Amino acid sequence: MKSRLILLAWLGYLAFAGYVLTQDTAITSDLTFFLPKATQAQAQLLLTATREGPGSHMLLAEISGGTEKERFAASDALVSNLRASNQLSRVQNGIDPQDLFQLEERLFPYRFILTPSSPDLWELPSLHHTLQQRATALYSGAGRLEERWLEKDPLGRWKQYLDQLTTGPMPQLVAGHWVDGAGTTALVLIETRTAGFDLESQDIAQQRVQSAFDATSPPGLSLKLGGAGALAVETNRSITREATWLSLANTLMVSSLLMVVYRSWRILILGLIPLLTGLVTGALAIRLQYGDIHAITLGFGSTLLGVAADYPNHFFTHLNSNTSNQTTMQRLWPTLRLGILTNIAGFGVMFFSGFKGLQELGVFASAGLLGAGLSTRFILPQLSPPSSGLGLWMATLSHNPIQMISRRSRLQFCVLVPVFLGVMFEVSGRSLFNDDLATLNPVSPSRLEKDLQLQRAFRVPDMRWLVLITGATEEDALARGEKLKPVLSDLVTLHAISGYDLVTDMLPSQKTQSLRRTSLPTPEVAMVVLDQALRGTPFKPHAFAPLIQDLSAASNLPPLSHETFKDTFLEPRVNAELFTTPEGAAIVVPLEGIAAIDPLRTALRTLQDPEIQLIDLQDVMTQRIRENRIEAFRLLLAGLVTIWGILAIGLRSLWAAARVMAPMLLASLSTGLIMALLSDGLNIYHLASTLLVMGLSLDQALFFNRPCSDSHERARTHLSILLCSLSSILAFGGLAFASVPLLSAIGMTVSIGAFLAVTFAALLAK
Amino acid sequence: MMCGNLLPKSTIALTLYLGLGLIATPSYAQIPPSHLAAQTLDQVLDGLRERSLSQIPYQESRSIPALKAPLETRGVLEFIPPETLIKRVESPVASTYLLSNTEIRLTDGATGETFSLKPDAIRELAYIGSSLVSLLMGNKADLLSRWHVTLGGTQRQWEMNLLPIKQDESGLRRVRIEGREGDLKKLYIEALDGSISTLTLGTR
Repeated sequence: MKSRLILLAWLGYLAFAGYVLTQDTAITSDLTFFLPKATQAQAQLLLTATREGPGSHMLLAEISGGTEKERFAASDALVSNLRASNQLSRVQNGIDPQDLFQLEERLFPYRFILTPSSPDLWELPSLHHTLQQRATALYSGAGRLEERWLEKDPLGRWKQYLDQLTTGPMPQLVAGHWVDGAGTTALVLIETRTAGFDLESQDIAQQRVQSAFDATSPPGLSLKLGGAGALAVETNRSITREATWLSLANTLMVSSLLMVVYRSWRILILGLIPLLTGLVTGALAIRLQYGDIHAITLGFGSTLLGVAADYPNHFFTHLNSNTSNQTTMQRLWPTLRLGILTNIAGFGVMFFSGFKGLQELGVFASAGLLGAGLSTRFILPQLSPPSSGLGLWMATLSHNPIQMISRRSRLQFCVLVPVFLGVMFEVSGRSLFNDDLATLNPVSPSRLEKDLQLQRAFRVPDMRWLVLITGATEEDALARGEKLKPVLSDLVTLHAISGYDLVTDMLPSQKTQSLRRTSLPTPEVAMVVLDQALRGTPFKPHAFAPLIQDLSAASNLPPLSHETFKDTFLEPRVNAELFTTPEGAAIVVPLEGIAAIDPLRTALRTLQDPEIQLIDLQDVMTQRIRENRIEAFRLLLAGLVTIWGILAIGLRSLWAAARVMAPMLLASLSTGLIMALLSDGLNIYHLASTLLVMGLSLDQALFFNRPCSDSHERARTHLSILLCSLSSILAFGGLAFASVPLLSAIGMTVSIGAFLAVTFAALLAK
Repeated sequence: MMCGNLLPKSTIALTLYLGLGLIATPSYAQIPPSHLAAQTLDQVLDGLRERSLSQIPYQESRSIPALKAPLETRGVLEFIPPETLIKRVESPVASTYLLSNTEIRLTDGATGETFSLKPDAIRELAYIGSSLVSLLMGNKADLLSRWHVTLGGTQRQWEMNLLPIKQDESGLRRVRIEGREGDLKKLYIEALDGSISTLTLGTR
């Protein structure tokens, strides 16, 4: 009766969890969720800006094939189609005259304060000279362009502003269309509404772009997408594809192994109960605690729950017709419970991590293991057959063959393996950890190179080095930016850099605007000076009456602000370079063509302003990864101490606890050294996989050391350990052959670790 | 209700405006305009197509409202079928204008600086360029889709008056083209901004 109630309660729980999980549970895929936070506010600010800022919303599209005319037509058609759909923030394939006209409509009245002017601009000789120059310029090629503004802007202030804008990073222009350096492809810049790391939204946006291109372009042309979002989506697809195939292959291999051992479909299917209950429980915990579930939590959390796949095997291998299932479970439970609790403690420390991604993973794994453990304890005994028919295997496994080696030799081996690996590692001269962000990048080097080519075509500045300006307010930051301007201009003259993009060239500070405004002559004075200056020029008297009218209106204009750029083609550029922060405002100044860093450092030092800093973004990233690795290690140590405590309570001896932990520590250390030798140093993937190795290893050590009533039981325990180890090695060994570095790193670490774990556990068993 | 009141007034105003414009322009008044039969426009276009202009010297006089005197330039006009028109200014300052369906390319002869723009960056230049191309290619349908065409004169010495169907889109007020059989002789282009260009072809 009681057992039926438990079964009903379990079914009721699954139904409840299923109901909750199918009601409005959003599965998110924003990769930034799994990128840790920086401890320094400045680093965090930069990373937020580069990762979530407008730059990460940019898709770089390249149209190749066909003739230039066909490419331009396809590029125009793509732009029209995407703009009409209104699903993307912005689509641009060059300098669109309409964009310039729109900007002109908004900013032309401000032309007197947009750029600096020489102090004698309105003095008679200078003004006369400028007007003569303007008359001569009308004969030049560009003269035809300038005619448009001649009467309202004879001093060329608007053209000066436009010239300043086009000195920024921009692709090469042919017929108003952006093209690559060789002119063989047409380029289109697309700004998505969501950041590049929001995979699901990015995927939808990119499919929209591709289908618009397919619908509008003639055959023979092809579209290639690049940029952070495109790479993220592409990588996600390839990881999912490869992980799916490898998982299927692994499932087939592990199922075959279990079928050979158990020769029972029923047991094979029952073996899934703890894992499935664990997955549901983990997901439910996340749903109730955080609301949404992240796709990576599900993916990587399920991998960590792989430990729970061992629980049913420990139980099934001990089934025999002489003992009831409940009794078998009761005898196994103390060891199993200790394994479950220590694993929960190991994974649970992630909950105390500084970033949400790991916290969520910790909750998922801990709750999942609890669900898997409880279902093993209370559900499996009721549904399992009385015997798993393992008679054939028992005779050969009643003894641990390694026990035939002398204890001294076994201990020597256990010490020598890590020492030998340590010496090998020391001789190799490699570094143990690799904090370079590039090693975490799951994108293949060839694909990255292609993307870099595309970025070069778009003249995307190298974002490794940049100047960061911070200020208490936007005005403060802009004022500092203006202080930096002459320094950067000198650096360009000295060829230390080839260019820079400073937001104050687009948006001057209020103070500068005010100064420029006050330096303007009154309309009356301007009229008198202009009339005199016009004498002896080819211009008619009063030809520039519209200029006087605008000058008069200029004093009543509201100040030019960030908001003035809204919905103009400059908006994304201004937003990318000037943004508010919790502390105030910040300006990012991308630098182009850096010849040497030292002159830059020296020049910036002369400003003696701590709010203007030269930043090495790569250094910031490396520092951040190092900080997070150190944090992960602290958590790991805390986890180990907790595990030791739990084991000491469970085994009622600190020494016994240390003995159980020894194989785990040896296996983890040796696996780490092997992986450091095989790769360019350990990264966060290796460390996270080591966590799983520790979980598997603890389980095996506990079972190797559990007291058995007779040789039959010992044989069954040995079989369970062997089966669990083989399953892990098979399941993760397959992943080691993946072409995606992330999958291969996890697969190799866990399979090597699982092998070493069982070896050390066998060697150190009582 | 407003539309009903405004429509006749605006129609009258437009008629008066156009009528006054035509009367106020002496050269328009000299040759009485008359609608020629479609056959005649075909003949003019056939003549232009058969002569297949490739290069022709020109003199241009361009009046800009702000200037006391017109800008006088000279150079060569070149047509590269099927759609490219190049105006090479030789004096007083060398520069090149390339007009095609997809591009306006301005090159400064002195500095070598090139501005490559989408056609609507200087809409009147693009509009007149593509219309001239249609004329030289004998593309009647394209011409009639952009202009109200009126022909005058004789077949030997003809005059074509063009009024843009969409004035705002073209940036032009009117264009007059004079020709002799299959040769273009003079272009008179009046833009909405008040500038007027007169190109005399075949002379240096």
